[in-house]
Amino acid sequence: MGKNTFDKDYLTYLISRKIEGTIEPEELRELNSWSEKSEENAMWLADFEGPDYIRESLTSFDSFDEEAAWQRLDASIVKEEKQQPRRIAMWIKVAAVLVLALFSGSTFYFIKNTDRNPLAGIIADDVKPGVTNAYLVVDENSQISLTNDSSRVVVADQLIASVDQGTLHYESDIKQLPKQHHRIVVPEKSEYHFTLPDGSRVWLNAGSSLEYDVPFADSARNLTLQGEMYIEVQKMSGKRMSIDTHYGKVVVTGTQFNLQAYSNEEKVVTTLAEGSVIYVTKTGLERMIQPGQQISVDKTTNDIEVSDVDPGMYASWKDGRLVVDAESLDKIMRNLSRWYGINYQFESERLKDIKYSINVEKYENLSSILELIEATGKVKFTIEDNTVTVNINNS
Amino acid sequence: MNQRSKNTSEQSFVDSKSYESFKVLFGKYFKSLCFFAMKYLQSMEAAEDVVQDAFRELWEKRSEVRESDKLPIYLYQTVKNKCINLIRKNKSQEKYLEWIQHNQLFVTYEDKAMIEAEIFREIMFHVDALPEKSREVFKLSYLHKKKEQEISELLNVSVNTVKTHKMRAKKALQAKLKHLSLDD
Repeated sequence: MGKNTFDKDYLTYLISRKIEGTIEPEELRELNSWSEKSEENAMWLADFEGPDYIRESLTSFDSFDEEAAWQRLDASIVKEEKQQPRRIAMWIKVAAVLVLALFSGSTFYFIKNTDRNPLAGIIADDVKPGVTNAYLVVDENSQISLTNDSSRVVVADQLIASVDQGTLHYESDIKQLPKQHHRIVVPEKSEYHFTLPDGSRVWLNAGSSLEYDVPFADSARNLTLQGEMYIEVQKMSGKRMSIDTHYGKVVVTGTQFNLQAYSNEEKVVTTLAEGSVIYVTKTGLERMIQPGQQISVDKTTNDIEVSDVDPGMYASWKDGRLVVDAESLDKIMRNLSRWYGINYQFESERLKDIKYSINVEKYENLSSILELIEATGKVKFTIEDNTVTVNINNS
Repeated sequence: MNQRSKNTSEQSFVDSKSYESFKVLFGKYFKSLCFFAMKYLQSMEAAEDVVQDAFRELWEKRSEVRESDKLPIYLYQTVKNKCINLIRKNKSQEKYLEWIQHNQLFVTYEDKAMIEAEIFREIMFHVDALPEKSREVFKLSYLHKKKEQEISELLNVSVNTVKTHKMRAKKALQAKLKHLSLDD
């Protein structure tokens, strides 16, 4: 450290020991005399004496999402072959992509090989992934592109929102303006990320729409969702947010969670990453869940199931990945059909129940994902005219 | 770094360079490095990205890493450099740079930020060692300033249970952190 009296390791040690109450008298004298050397030193040490500085620092310290960051990191580093039985590993330069076939109880990890394409020849037309794309419907009569930077939303000669760098921004002072109804529509083969008038950040998945009135009312923020969204709700005291899904609603204050309510799925699934949410079923039942919990409600029977999950997995679609854990091929195909805008059919009903775990980059062509599922040897795919057929693998 | 947290996880990474030991290292330093990065950046997202980047680099250069003692400093410095690069790229933050210059007063700004990050890592280490329920209650009441009633609703337990966990957490922590004021 040279110019300093102590090096920083020693200073860290002294301050920690002081907080822990294990500091020796001699050490305390050293610390005090260091503190007397400058007002700056003394003020900084005094910060640690009061309750608020430590409390606030710890709150900020603890707010980083280690789990999600690890998952992103883990997916982007090249790992060496781990010494585990029954594992086949192939090497490539790109990120690891793995498919885990649960069908026979055996586990295979595949690392995607970009130089190899067994599907080439079978596939007449490969399908490109979705893109950032959405439009806004104002008062159900005018339609505005939300990816075009020249888009503006104006009411009573005042600008309420505009598109900047491909994302929608609301002006901060729109409280006094007449009410407008906004519906954000994200078609199939698309996704969109933007910020609501209250500062809440929203990610909408393919085939979804979100509607609300602007400006938000003084007492509440009411949204209606079809499809799937991830939201980081801006906390506003005394102003709850309520998200209606047509099958029940979610009431929150300040929180982060994923909500899936597609019309062609059997369940409405809410996965909480942070804060707390209350799920209110159509029949009026209320249920609160904690971070790391997921509530899924059957749309027909209204049966409620709460389970502990990894919330990062259910939010991974917004970070450019397609992750499923032991889901049926049927459900996986529904998911793929939204993101790739494809139709699909099964050669045999029994193929629908094969379960797969997948963790892949979602910005790759469809064939690269199908290829991985094929590699498990249970099924074969053909793509023709934007329709995927899932065939029994007879070979 | 602190004497107690003898650098065993660092040593094991240096010795084995294994994926598992890398993961342990990530768990140990992720939040403190993010906290540190936030002293330079204003967005949590940017801070997390920078730290993630630093770890990616460490993984890629792992064959060159020899001294476990220098590993934490290496991580902090990598993160700092990445933050500064990010700030440089973003001209609107010029004023922020000036502010950083002005803050190099007693120990450098960097040292101060690093010391804090390490101290809070130490404290959090004790918090994370609490039993799960007590830890949850403690975080909600102490860090998020929630009332007992609110916590009881959030965790779906009685107010009395909340009180018990709160007292347990307080007692356990005060044994470790005698000088930390835990009153709400």
